[in-house]
Amino acid sequence: MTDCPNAELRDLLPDLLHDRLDGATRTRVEAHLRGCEECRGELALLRSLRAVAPTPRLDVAGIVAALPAPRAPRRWTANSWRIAAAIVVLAAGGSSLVAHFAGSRPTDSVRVATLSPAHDSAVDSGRGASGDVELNVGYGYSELTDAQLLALLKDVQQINAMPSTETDATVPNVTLSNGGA
Amino acid sequence: MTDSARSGDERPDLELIAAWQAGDQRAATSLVERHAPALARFVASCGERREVDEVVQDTFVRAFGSLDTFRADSSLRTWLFTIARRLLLDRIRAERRRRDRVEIEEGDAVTEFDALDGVVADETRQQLRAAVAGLSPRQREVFALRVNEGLSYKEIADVVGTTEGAARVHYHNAVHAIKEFLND
Repeated sequence: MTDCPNAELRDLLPDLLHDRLDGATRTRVEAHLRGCEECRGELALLRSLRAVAPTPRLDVAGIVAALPAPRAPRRWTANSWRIAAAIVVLAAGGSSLVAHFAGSRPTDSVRVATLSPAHDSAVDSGRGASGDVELNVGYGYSELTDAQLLALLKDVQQINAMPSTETDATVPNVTLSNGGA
Repeated sequence: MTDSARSGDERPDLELIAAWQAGDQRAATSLVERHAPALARFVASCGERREVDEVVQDTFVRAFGSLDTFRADSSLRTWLFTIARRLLLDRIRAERRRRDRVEIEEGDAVTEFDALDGVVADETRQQLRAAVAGLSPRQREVFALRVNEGLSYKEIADVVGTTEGAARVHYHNAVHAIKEFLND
């Protein structure tokens, strides 16, 4: 039995055997086979060899019975819980900050009178009324160390402890840019 | 008939893995039914004579024990072949250490194949099996994966730890050797 010189086509014979060729390639291989006695012989040989391959009987139930039990979902460590708790606190603190600052920021041509000039400048500069709090609460908590998380928690507690500057029931003194009130 | 159809469960491997991890024991049965026959053929083709069942079982036990580390970069079947091959090599090494093992003679391999199949071999069948048994271990495993299981050269390279080019060369050398054996 001789070998076909077309190595590329010969390479594809096992794929033809297992029906792993796309339509176009399959058509090309089959066209080659019609004119190539060597490849027809090799394909027949491969088919025979596959047919005589040993096929031992197996005890599937026995194999399944021997399998280990699925692993329980990974447990959270104490550290994981601390980080999660810190994220919740920070998110709550961040939300209240955003609500607070957004609510007191002047919009368009309407200027809202504030209770204290110092507060306005603190908002514009991104600092709290106490003048010493600067937080980046956007993202990346998981990358912080325990010490950094504790420091952030301390900062958030300070923010929550700050007196509210919202006027609540009192009507703000609103001055329109055209001079109306 | 596809292996999925043969196992009676058409769900993809990854879905079955997730189901098993969630406690569905039938998913494990489906996975074993789907892949065990190919593993057994491969193990037997590589010359394991007596303990195919045990190697296949060990392969599944190892695989299921570390399914959470399985990456879908390769197919589950390719991964299982890789594990089975490692187990086979371990066994061969252990046996070699225990007694100075000699190469399996062709006659032994043919006799073993008959025992595994439970089929009385005719002359042609014996000749074909003897031709494969006469290959080098590397040629035999590459040939088995390519012809019996239909793996690509890339998949074969992953299983046996070589390059696609080397896998291709081993395959063609194997075919050439088989033809030579049968022509003699």
